[in-house]
Amino acid sequence: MTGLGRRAAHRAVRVAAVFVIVTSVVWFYRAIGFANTTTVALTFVLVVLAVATSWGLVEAIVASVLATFCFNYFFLPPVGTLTIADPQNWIALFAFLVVSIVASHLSEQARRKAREAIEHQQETERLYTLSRMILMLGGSPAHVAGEVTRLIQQVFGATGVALFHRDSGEIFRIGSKELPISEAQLKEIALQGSAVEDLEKGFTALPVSLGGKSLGSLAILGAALSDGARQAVANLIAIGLEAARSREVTGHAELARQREEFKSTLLDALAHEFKTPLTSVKASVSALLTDPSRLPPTQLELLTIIDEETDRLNRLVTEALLMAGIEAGTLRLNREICSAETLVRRAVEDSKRLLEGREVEVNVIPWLPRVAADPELIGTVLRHLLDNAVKYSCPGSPIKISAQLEAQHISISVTDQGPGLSEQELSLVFERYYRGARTRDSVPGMGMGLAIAREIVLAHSGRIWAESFPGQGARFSFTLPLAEPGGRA
Amino acid sequence: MTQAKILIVDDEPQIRRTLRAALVPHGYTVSDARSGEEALEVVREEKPDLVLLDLNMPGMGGLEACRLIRERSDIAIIVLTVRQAEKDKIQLLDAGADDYVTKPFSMPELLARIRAALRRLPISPDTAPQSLELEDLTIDFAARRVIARGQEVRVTPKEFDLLRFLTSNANQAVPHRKLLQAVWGPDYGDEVEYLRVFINHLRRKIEPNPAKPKYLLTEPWVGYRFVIPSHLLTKS
Repeated sequence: MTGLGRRAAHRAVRVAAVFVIVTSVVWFYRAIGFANTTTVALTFVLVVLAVATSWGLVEAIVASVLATFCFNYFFLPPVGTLTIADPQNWIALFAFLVVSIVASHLSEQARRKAREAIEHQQETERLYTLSRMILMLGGSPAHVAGEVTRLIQQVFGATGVALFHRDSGEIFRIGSKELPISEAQLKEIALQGSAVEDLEKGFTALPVSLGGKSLGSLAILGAALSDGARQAVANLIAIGLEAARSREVTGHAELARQREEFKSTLLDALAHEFKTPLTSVKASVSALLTDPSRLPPTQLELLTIIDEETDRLNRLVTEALLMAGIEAGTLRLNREICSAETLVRRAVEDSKRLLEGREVEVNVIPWLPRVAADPELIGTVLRHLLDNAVKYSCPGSPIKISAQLEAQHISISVTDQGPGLSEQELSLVFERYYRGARTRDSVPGMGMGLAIAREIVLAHSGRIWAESFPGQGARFSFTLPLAEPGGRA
Repeated sequence: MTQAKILIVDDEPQIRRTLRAALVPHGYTVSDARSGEEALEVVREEKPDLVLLDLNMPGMGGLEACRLIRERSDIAIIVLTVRQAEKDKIQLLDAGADDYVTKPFSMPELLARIRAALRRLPISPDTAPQSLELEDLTIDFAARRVIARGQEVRVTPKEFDLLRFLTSNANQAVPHRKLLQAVWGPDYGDEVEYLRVFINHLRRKIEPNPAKPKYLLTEPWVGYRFVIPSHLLTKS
């Protein structure tokens, strides 16, 4: 109200000034006494033009009317009356009015455009400032949301700002708590994607989204923002939030990767620590056993025990480290295209000592389709299955290994003719540390072999299972996926 | 052969001690080094015949030491490693190692490897071809150089001997055992997988497409064959 009152007062002053100017012109020309009507008319035109360009339309019309009146009364014959003898003088009057209207209209337009341009530039500068500040924000998305709310209020001088951040579900506020919108309504705007505006109160609320995904909603009170600026602010907020979220995800991934790398390094160091003394011991005892015939029987026996137990210790360490690697999630599959036949052959070869004196029957067709597998790890699986077969069956009984093609995979089986497993044991046997009830005391081992085998097979997206009838032996089988067609030969 | 000089490189004093104690009775002269840097010095000064190089050492590390030693000489290098993965083995061969042994190892095994690594195929000047020139592969037997696709390729002594033996028996399937015994010696014969790693490594060096070899072919369940087009066979 005070604004309008002030404007009215200014106008009144200007109108008064118009009066003063026009009467000064009249007085001047009357004083000189020899100006002709053209000169006077043109002077009045200049005055009207000046008033129109400097002040508003109202002042210009007042000037035109007053100028016409004065011109007629003081200068047009008959002087001293308000009549116009010569019809041509109507044109003069008409000219004054047209000049005043056109000139004031044009200048008003120009002024308005200048004003708009300045406002627009200021708005753009504010948006730029806001965008720079948002880009410099670090921290979690929720933190960014809180900071952004503060920045909007700061940069645009708003009375109150509220930002609903969908991911965290929080509403961040700053400034006046009297925002004419409820929390539920604000959340609704985010979901529906529709904006709300109340020009009278200078309040606006709109959704914040990026690429079609709704990130929240923004409400501003008391900041004059054009439509474009409002949307720009919403977009800046969206970009800022997305950037923060993206940073968070990358940060987590990076952290996870570092943790895994650390665990991997740790396990490598452990492997080195354990294997180093084992290396010296194994080298020493194997050197002493190079020529068994030259050793006295007692020494031979004792050294042989050291040698065997060293091997056992080495196997335990290897197994424990492998299990630790699996549990730490640092186990990496180096998949290659291999043939089942090669895998089986290698495993049998590597278990030569273990299988000594046992009859081993290999039933693997060499031209089965190839599988995608990590040869080292599958070798470990096969060695464990063979180890199992040897441990739990009598020295005279045969061990069979076979492979067959099934729908989407190759299945490999190791069969022994030992005492077999009960139905209950069939499911428990792959658990960590599980040892067969009957054999727990007589057969050495930690019970990890099958658990490790299962982890490896699972990592290959395969299955592993046991079949058995008590007293008739056991068959352990696992599957491997076929290699993709077109893979390397 | 038993007068050969062996350099043991390992940062673990007990391993150096054990190896020394185990090698000396077999007639080898032994010196040792505690690090890759020291190893390079000893190689330069004493010029051993063979280096036993531990991979896991602080500082320069075994792999880098292997590369540097191989850059300057053709001496036999056997790497001692804890890792068993095949891709690590390939990396060792790439670095110029003649052979690798996984820790812990048995002494007889290591001694066999040492004997094999010190062995070189004798060059019989009259019967063997001096050089072989194929489409994109040239083997200069006298100078012990191999040029594949216009570029000189570094081959280790064992790889070179493999090539020489196979090309001397060109177009024939050479059984695994025969190849192993010729190149690695009488202690070897059954190590089919071991041979496979070397052949694959060699293929990566000389074959334009290692996945589809045209020179070094596998004879399934038998051995390997080097293919020379018949019109070149009369060349000497």
